[in-house]
Amino acid sequence: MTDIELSVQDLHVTLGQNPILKGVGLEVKRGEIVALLGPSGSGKTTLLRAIAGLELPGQGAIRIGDQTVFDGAAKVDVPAEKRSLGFVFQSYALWPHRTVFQNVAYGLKLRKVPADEIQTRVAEVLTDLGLGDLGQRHPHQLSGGQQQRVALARSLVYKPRVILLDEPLSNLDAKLREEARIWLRQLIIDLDLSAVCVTHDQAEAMAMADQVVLLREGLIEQAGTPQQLYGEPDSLFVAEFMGANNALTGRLGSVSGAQAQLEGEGWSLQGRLRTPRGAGEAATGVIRLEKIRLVDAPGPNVLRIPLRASVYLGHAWEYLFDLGGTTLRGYGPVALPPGERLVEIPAEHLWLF
Amino acid sequence: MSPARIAVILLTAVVVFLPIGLLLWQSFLDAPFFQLQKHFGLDAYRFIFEDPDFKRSFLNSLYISCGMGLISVPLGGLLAFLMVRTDLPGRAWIEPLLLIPVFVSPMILCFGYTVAVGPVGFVSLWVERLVGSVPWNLYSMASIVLIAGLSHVPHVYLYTASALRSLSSDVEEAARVAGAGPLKVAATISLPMVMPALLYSGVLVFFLGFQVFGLALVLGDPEGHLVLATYLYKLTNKLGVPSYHLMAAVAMCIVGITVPMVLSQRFLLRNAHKYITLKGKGSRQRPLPLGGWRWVAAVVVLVWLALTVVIPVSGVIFRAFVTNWGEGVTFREAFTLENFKAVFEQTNLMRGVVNTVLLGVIGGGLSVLCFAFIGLSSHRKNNGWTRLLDYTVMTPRAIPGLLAGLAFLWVFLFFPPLVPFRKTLLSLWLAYTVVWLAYGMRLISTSLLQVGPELEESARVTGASPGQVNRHITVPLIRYGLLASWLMIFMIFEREYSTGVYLLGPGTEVIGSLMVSLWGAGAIDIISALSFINILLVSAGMGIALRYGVKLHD
Repeated sequence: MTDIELSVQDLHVTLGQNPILKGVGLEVKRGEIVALLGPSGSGKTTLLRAIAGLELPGQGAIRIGDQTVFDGAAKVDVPAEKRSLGFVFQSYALWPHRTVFQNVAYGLKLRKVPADEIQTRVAEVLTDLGLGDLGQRHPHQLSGGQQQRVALARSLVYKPRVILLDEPLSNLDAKLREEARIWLRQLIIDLDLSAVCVTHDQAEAMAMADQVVLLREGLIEQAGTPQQLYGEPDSLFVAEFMGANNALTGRLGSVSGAQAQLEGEGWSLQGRLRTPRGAGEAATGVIRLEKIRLVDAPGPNVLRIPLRASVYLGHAWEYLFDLGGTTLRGYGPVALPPGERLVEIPAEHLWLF
Repeated sequence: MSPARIAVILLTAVVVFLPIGLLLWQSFLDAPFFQLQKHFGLDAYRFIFEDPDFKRSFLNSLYISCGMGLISVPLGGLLAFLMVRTDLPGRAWIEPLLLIPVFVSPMILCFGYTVAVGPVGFVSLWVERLVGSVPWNLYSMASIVLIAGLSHVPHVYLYTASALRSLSSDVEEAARVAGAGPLKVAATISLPMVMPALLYSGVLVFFLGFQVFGLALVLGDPEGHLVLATYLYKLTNKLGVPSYHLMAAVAMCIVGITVPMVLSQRFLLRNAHKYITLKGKGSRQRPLPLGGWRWVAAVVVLVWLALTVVIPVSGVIFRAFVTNWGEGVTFREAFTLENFKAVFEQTNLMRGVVNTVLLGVIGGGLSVLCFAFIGLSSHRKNNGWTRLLDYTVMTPRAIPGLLAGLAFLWVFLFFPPLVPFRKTLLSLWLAYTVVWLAYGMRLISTSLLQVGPELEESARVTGASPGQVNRHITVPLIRYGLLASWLMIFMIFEREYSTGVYLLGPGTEVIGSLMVSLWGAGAIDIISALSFINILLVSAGMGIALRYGVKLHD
């Protein structure tokens, strides 16, 4: 059981009159990176802040390692400063009146570490993070990327076992962000830390995390590996949140086991049921953009529909088809003139909800 | 809430509400509280309600309040619009001048008026030579209302200007593009959007009208126009005995009028957001070109400045350097430094000057320290305790300095452990700190609000206790705000005159209260010299503020 570094059980948080978290649980194993993903207002930042002790939950329990830091029933609430966590704020929250060195050294000073040891440990972590000679600068003299690394250094220097990151990359520009997420993941793995990282960017979550927890309106919609969330969504919400999709609305025809027929006006497609449904019910079919293929010959799940336009994206062309008023999108390598096309929607990739 | 925070809040509440409680209790007695023979009852109220002088004073106070509102709200709004929104010439140097009536005591301004435009004032004499007679009467009720109104224009200006500043000009530009002319824009867009600020300052001016003291004392005396505060002040003389119960009853009448006003301001502030005068971004502003009107507007502003600032201030400075003034006296033969010599030679006057500086510099610093503690005790908390603190802090706004001074005198008489401190600056400092509590807390909370919450939270997560967060993060971050607050409180303490009136005694003299008592004795030479010294002190504060870019208002 010591394998679990952080566990959250049935956590409820209410801010003012609004219930933000309505019973959330999760577990983070040693060395694991968990991404909290969700649209804005889903409660992901509140969950992170509650773990850190910055929000007071109404009920539930939080354990860090062997220590219970919050238990609503037993009235345990360890204050934030006693939880020994690392926390990287979205805005980095560097103290503007302190130099980089003083920012990083603060946690060690509070822990009464001798001055010479502070000196070496801060120098070490600054060097590790590529900030070696910036110790005497003030935060406003640093670039965004450097500030982000100072914030990391500040929360790593006192060697917490769990680090919490609130949208750590959102203030970096797009190109830097893609490099930083790989770097950050490697850093966390190298230091053998457990991490919880809030993000609203599903690509970032999948690139960084071992586990993804998708929140929706204060509840966990689905939790699992990135592959599970992307490839086997349990609900329409997860399917739509995790990727770029086509959504087709229709009515279910014949249903046999996990296989079912989705019928719309003038079309009928075979698909896989992701939730148990009965024949005759209204349903939505979802297929990822990249799963749609142009084919040469008619066959099962092949539709003959008009291509409206080809849009150049740089790395590919996006085709816009018209399926009885609904726009169907797919990718291809070349520009195509408008006209009738044969489009295959593979049955194993058409999820029915 | 930690016990320390609760202790700070409770202590504040005691210091604010105890004196008021004492006033209230005294008002229901039929004799001063220290007498053994006393009974509960409404005798005091009955007496003052039957006194025709009280009725007249009440009506005069009402006239002054209404007149002030009618004069200062439109003028203050106009001034704010001209200063913030248009290309009025000379805006940069007009701005500090506008604030002079806020930082120079009304006592001094009114001495200046009597010296300059009183019956034998130098402006009056000059006009008399030109046209044969003086076409105004400074001591009439109309003049009093006019001067009260003009000198409160800055109060309205400050609130409206800050609302206008936070309004981005794109809403006005949108109206221009939609086809509205500049005047139409001001009338239909800009002004309605700052309506809450105008309304708020209107209420402010109205209840300040009921607190008017120095102005009515100086200008109302010659023709016997009393207002509530001067009626209270003269009660002692009128009956020949200390009539504490009557004074307390009058005080409760004033408080009864001003407290609901202060509460209504809070209500107005809460409803202000529906007009959204405050917006975080988009503060880019382009001044509205006035065209030919800019010179007309400049003349209007200059006339106001001449009437409210130049005439009284120059009058008082002038008077400080002459022996006497009247028909046929020239400045060369009347010039003297005797007035200042008199101040330096009389120990109580000299002590008054020293005390005023001490109270401003050291007392001001201590007050800011107290305000900072109080501010930190409710910082980032929202519960019953902080609401109690909110009301505690707001209450002194409704209490005129004269009453607060009276109440503190009683506190220092009533509680034996405090008696030895009555004749020390401590009593004065405590009264000043409470009277300016609301103002000081506004200064502090403005600084505190600028500290991002995550800066404190990150310290907590790093391992700092709440006290360590305050010491290591919050206070260092607001240190410049605290220094600026110290400067502002210094100026306000230099200006204050009414709070010390009842606490005046050997050892507790300050320039302000000395002027009030000397006015009774008619020592105009000394008053002028003291006024000049007082203006110098305030100017020193303003000079430092302007030099170091301290904002004189928000």
